[in-house]
Amino acid sequence: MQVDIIYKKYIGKKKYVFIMLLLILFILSFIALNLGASKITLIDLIGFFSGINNQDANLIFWRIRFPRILAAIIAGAALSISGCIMQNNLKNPLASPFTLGISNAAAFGANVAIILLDAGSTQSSTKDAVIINNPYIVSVCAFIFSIFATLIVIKLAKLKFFSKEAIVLSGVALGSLFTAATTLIQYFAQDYQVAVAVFWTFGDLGRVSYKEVLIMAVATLISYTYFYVHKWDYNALEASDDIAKSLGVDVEKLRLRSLLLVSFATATSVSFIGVIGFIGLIAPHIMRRIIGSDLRFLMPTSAILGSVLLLLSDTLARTIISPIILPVGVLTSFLGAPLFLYLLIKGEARR
Amino acid sequence: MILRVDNLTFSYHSKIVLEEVSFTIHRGECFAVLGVNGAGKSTLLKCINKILIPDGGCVYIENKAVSKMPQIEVAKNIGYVPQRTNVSRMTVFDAVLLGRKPYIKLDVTDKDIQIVKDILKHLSLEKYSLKYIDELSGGEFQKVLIARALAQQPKVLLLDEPTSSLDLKNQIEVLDFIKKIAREKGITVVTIIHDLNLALRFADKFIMMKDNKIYSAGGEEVITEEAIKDVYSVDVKIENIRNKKIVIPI
Repeated sequence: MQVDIIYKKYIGKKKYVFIMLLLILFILSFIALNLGASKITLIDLIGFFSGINNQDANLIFWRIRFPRILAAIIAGAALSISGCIMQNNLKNPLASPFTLGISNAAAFGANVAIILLDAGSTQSSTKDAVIINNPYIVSVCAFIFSIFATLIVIKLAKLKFFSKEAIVLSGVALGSLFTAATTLIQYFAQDYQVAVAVFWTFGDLGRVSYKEVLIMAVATLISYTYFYVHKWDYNALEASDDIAKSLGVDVEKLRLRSLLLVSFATATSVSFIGVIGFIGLIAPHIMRRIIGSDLRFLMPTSAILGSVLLLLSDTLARTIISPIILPVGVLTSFLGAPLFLYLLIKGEARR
Repeated sequence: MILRVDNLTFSYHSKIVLEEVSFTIHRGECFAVLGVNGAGKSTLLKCINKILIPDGGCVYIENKAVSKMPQIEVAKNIGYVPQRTNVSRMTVFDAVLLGRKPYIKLDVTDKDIQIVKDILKHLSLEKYSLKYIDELSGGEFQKVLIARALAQQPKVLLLDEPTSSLDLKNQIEVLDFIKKIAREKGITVVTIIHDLNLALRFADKFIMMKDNKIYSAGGEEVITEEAIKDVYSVDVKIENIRNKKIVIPI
């Protein structure tokens, strides 16, 4: 058979994987929509014969479950694409959306808002004791500090012509600096403020409404469009910096813009839902195993897998000890760590 | 005249790596760059296609200054095969297809696929097309890198020690192939090469570099016992066997 036909078939298979993943995401969303603390299912929404008031069903579906599912899909995709681009750009399998220190910077920002600007408070002694009075101040602060951290990392990396090592090292250094600063302000804070701040850091999808979902979607879409248009540049970068340059890629400019857009998408998500670990690390890893490191296919499939994983984690978090809802960030780390180790060990054995 | 290098100067951390390097190459010629390690050969290649930006001097391709071209335009004119490259996990077809990068707008066209198909056929790499490049032997891998550079449809091909990791059979096969393609398609080849006898077999012209400067440049006549003694600090004897110059270290 002709080489070009064989190749096109091979490419066709990869597209098939994407469609399969999309189907899984769709089914999962449907299941997630039907699960929850209140035993309401889609049937109640249409059914006249159920005892539950349609008004309640409407509220639970469209105001609580649906935005939450959308948030999981968008944040999962945003984190996963960001991780994919970071791993490609830094040629480092441990790179994630948080390599630049965004999670630490965002947490610091939130702490500043909650503790120094007093944006959080407690309610008497009920279980949901912590309340964030003004979520927008917290989000804005988290976002500002994330972007601020990114700009510093970029400024530092620029001195070394955006070498991969410079980016990783300045990211790690800045991350630990922000962690130290967070600890410092928590040390002098009131008990309840620390409680609120810790609660914020957990990462929870229940905080968002349609407005936040829309903002997250726009930020993710802007970044993704840039990444997708430059997929061949990233593929060239996969070979080596010199090869990429010889193929006409402006490597420094590409790295700078990629870092900015990764930070923009990640910071937007993190500001609204807190820190959710491991998704951005693990989804691209799994996909690379299945589909290879060709960014043309790795990006879209990682995005969908990120959505699937986060939605799955969140659905588990909502139902596992219902009616208590666990913060999804805890669950992704719990699921992510063993999965990551499994990939690591399996990968070692293969070589 | 296709490639003219004019007074090229480059320094790295205030250490001079290239000093006033000038030479001219005509279309279809095969050029060998000779010299000891650290003489500035790799840097010279990287300065020609703007992987490194020279401190002074200029490179012209068909009288157009490379420094004024956008990088993507450079990529359409100059192909480059580096000395070392990390082996990523991609298929041979994808790796060669990457050479079409300067021409790809958003997605590959059938024309790109056709070009890759032809090159693979030409290099008899067809049977490997869906094999991952990290599973290839050294010779096959080197060929893939050359195939990628050829997919750029360049006027000038820069090769940094293309044969250093190959056995004798593959060395000769790869160099003969490069020479054939250079003749057929009128591509000018500039290659760094360490084996003087291979260089003599392959190249039309030679540049000998010493201490970051050009020691001598020209045809076969520049390869003399004295020149080799000066450049490499090695005593050699040059013999003529079957009308071919052979360098024998003594």
